[in-house]
Formats: sequence, C-alpha cells, structure tokens
Amino acid sequence: MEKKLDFIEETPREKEIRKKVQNKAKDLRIRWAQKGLFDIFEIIENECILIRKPLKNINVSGFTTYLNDNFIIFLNSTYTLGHERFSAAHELGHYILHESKLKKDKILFDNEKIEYEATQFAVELLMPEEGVREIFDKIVKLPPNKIQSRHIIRMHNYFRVSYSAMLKRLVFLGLCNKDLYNGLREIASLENNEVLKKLEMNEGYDLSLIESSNVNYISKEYEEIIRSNFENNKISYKKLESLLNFIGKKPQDYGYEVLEDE
Amino acid sequence: MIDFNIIGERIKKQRNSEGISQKRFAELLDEENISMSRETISKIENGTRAVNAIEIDTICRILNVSLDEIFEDEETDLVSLFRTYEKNISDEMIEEIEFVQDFIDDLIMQKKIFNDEMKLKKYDRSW
Repeated sequence: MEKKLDFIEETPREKEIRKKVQNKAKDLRIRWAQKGLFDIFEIIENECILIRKPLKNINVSGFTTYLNDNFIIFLNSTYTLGHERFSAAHELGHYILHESKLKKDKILFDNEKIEYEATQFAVELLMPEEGVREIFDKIVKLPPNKIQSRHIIRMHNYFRVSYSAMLKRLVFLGLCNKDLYNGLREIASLENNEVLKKLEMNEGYDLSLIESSNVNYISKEYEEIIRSNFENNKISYKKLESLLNFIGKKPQDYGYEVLEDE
Repeated sequence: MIDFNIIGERIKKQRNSEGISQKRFAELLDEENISMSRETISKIENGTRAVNAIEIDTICRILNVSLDEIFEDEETDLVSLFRTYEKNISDEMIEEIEFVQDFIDDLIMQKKIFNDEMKLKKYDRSW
C-alpha cells in the first residue's frame, strides 16, 4: 500500500509549531545536559514520576496524567525500545508544552493539535536536525537517491529510535529521497520483522531497539523512598514486598532479610 | 466539589452529544413551560448563571441524562478518565488501569510518609 508522504509538506501553521517546539526541545536538552543527564528516561524521571511497565491489554504506548498534584508519565514497555523512547519523548512533550491543560483535564486524549505538537517535540528532541546532518555526513555520506536500508539501520541505532522514525526524519530533512520512502518503509513492517532483525545483525547491532524491553521501572527517587521508609520502620515488610513486586523485584534483591511474620 | 462550572460543562457536553443546538434546546424547554433564551443557556453552560431545581430536572429529562450524572463528584481516577475518552474499554484493560492507578496512589502515599506528612500511629505499619 502506498503511504502518503504528507509529513514532508508542512502547512505554515505546522512550520510555526515546529519552530516553537524546536526551541523548547533545545532548552530542555541543554538544561539537563548541564546536570549531566542525557538519557530520555533519566530526564523524565527527574521531571515527573516515571513508570515503565509491560501491559498487554492497554493498547496505548503511554500517557501522561496529573493526579494528586503529581505529574506521572506511564510508558508501556511491551512496545519496542525504539518505539518506547519515542513515546517517552512525546509524553515529555505533553508535560513541557501542555502543563496547564494537563492540570485541568488530568489526561490528554484525541486532540489533533496537541498530539501533533508533542510528536514534533519528540522528533526535535531525539533527532535534532543539526545532529542528524552531522552524523549522516560522518557515517553515511551518500546522495539522497543512494540510501539503502543498511544506512537507515546505522542511523537509527545511532539515535536510538525506531527504524521507521529515523527513515521519516531523513526523508523530511531531504537526506533520503522521498521516492525511496515506501520501499524502505516496507522493511519495518510487521511481516518483515525477521528480515529487519537479520539486517540489524548483519550490521553488527544487538536487537534491543527493535524488540520489547518489557522493563519494569519506576523513578529512582521513589525506589529510594520506598527503601528508606522500610529502613526507618515507617512501612511493613509486607508493604515493601508488595511495592517492589510491581517493579519485579524482591526485598532480597536489596539485601534485606526475609521476614515471614511481624 | 461540584460547582456551576462543572454542571454547565456537563450540560453542554450532553447537549452536544445529543446533537441539539442551543436554539433548539430553548424551543424544547419552552415546550416544557420553561422559558429560557439562547443567551441564558449559554450562560448556564459557562457556569455564569445558576440553575434552579425545576430547570435542572427538565434539562436532564430533555437531554436524556440522570440528575446523578450531572451532580456526581468529579472523578480523577484513571479508570474514569479512560472511560470518558474510550467507550469500548475491555475488562482486561480496566483491570490493568486499576492496577497502575493503585500503584500510583501507593507511590504518592510513600512520598508523603517519607516527608512525614502522614501521621502514623506508632505500631501501625500497614502502610
């Protein structure tokens, strides 16, 4: 099936949005890099409460919510890591760009404009134009009509996003010819999953970005809070056990003795 | 807490989902012997005019909505938020959302305990 390439042609309004989110993404990157944090998950867990968990029945990649005066970003880790990182940046975009709306509505659904803004924020955060052009020049260095899947693979592993997100970005920036888009996109389809895996391995990459991470994770701060509450006798062993269970851990993983009864 | 803003919003939402314009709504109210201009309806929906008991009863009847639904406390839990936006929500999905919700509540509680904002009885360590 032919995919429309409407992401290449921006309306003036979309251009305006891009400019706005570009600056916001840049500010955020600089702000956290100054503190020594570069990873998208690290940034989120310091801005909000981050929860990563594989949920099979929730057909959403993630959501941001405002509950009891706290911003929570939830990410479904059944999706591939590349996909999850993009969702992470998208949700962070909501938090950065739509804070007051989130406070009012508690959760954001189905609003085309704000979804577009968050997605463009994610694109600009994870694949900033300057960086993409520089790395492309370093590791691909080919004219746009000579791009093959292996080049997309090298680039997406560099920026740690999905194959298809990288391809889209390269086409958008004119680094890959738009006539090649549909052909190259085919490889990232579900039916061709094994083909893509083989190509990734041929290029010497592990498959972490294109497989589910199934990670169980909460913001480090909260993991420490739970431990310290237990250590200071503020919560029971049972409570500790049930809280840690959520992130797939046991008290013994932290060296605590097993306590059967209290 | 419920206020006229919330009531107004709910009336507006219900009116829209029933596909009734403000003008048509005024006509329907008139048939029930409640005379209300389109402007007044607009004010009610914006929460700037109070509604009396007779009016709200009639409004609910016309809009096919129960008084309870108009007056229920604002829910801020994830399940009801998801329900508002996704009509075809499966039981399995609700279960998972509840699971996440409970854990979020737990985390927020743990932070309060950590900051000593929660007064705990000396031997009560059920948290």
